[in-house]
Amino acid sequence: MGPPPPALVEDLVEEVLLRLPPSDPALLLRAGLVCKQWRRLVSDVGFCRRFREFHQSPPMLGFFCNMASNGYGDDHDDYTRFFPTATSSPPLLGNRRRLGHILDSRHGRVLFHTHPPLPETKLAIWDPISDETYPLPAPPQHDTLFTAAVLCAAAAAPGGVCNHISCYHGPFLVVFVGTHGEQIIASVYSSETSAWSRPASSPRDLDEHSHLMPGALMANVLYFSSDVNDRILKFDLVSRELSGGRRLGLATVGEFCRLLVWSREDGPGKDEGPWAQTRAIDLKAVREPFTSHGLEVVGFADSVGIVFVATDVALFSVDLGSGEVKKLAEVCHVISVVPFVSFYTPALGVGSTGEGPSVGVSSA
Amino acid sequence: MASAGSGDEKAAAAAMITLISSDNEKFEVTEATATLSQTIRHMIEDGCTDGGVPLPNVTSKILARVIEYCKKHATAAAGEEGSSSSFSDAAFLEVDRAFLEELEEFDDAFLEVDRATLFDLILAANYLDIKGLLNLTCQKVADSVKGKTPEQIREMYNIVNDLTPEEEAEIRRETQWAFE
Repeated sequence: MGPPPPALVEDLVEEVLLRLPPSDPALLLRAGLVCKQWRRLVSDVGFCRRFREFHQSPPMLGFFCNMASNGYGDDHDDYTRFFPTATSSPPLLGNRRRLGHILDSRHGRVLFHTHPPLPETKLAIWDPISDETYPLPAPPQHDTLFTAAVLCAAAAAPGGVCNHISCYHGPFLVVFVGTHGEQIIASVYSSETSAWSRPASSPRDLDEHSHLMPGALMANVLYFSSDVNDRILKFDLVSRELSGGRRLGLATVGEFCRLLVWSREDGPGKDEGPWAQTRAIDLKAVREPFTSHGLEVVGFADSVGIVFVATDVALFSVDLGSGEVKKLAEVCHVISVVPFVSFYTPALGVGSTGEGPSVGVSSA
Repeated sequence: MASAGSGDEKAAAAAMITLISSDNEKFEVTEATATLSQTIRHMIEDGCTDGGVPLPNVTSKILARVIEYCKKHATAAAGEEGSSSSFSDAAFLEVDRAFLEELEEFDDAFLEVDRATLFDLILAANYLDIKGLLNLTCQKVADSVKGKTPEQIREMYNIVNDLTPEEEAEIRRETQWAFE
């Protein structure tokens, strides 16, 4: 036995702890139980920021799966489950089994609407890590078909430059899209003004029986696709204009069990290039012999390039980068899937700085 | 003109620096090797390396290991510069790939040390400001705590638990999922 290793000074303990993988957040918590110094370190606001800066892109900790209890999406007993996908993950819906239907999640926040549906749509933001909720005022008048997206305010600025390292403390936006008579309307809630904007509108071209999928954010544009007739709605976060597109989605299940991925590049000036099919990923492997209704795209993780695809009996993820198809869970009646992509850094009851590492959703 | 230029470069590459460990041992290294350390790079830029660079925080045993690392990685850096300015056809890429693999093997073997040496290397890498070495050694320690309980981590790194039982119980209660 050699001499005991010399103690590392605090700066170097930090250098070590910074290198723990974000996809296994339990490691940081266990490190916090080693001694007072380590606990103080992993709970420190500065450490949390440096941890995010060091790793840059947050991991997908898991996903919320909205399911219909009877196979139809309009039952009052719809329910939502959280499935962890990271090496370790907090049980996010642990105490909140009846939270409601989860519409979207981005940049550390979760957007849900309470169910059973009330005459008035009630939306709220939930911070799964601090378990705080932030109710939103009622969105503009709409019919039954709607969806909404949440994102940090910086992502909506021209150029959309945000590294999402500390934006979970900052202001956020909620983009609401819904049908209203012969129109589709879109309105933006800002946590800075605590109000919904005057709605933008576009002629309605959505089937009454369609669903609107959770949105996908690309640069300054949010895309919402519909499950029934492959229509797509586009909301420009800078110009705040809503427009409808026909026939093409972002990712659709085509003939012969292939996932078709569509993209388009901005042309010169204001023109946009046409949608082009850029990938076709074979999904035959996921098709089980007793599947009768085929496949459906049920969600996107836009920050990590993953598309969720459901069959009657199971849920799969398709990695758009590698083309890898993975079975995630055996579940029926999936309405939609919302991934939770976030760093998880512990507070461990230290909170001495007052700022705290919790996800402040206040508009301060 | 070209030959004069390359002659100068050779002279610069061959410039030697003397590093002096805390136990007064002298190490002759090329400037290219020494300047992997930002601390030494700044000393050279300030022109204060005549008569050797004293490193009172680093023992000869550790300094020898650090120099071994720097020599290998300085060659790697020079190789990278060379290949990026020349043809980047398949043959060169193949050479690069083989070299990177070799470097990885070197790093793995380099980390086969006891914990006391590993910690000394971290301290030296930090003091000498050698980013690659600091990253390599800290990642090794980080990897070693994966899958370990707090008790095992304390034992491995000789850390005294100064948390009160109440504090410990509170943390465990708040974050029970992490201990299951």
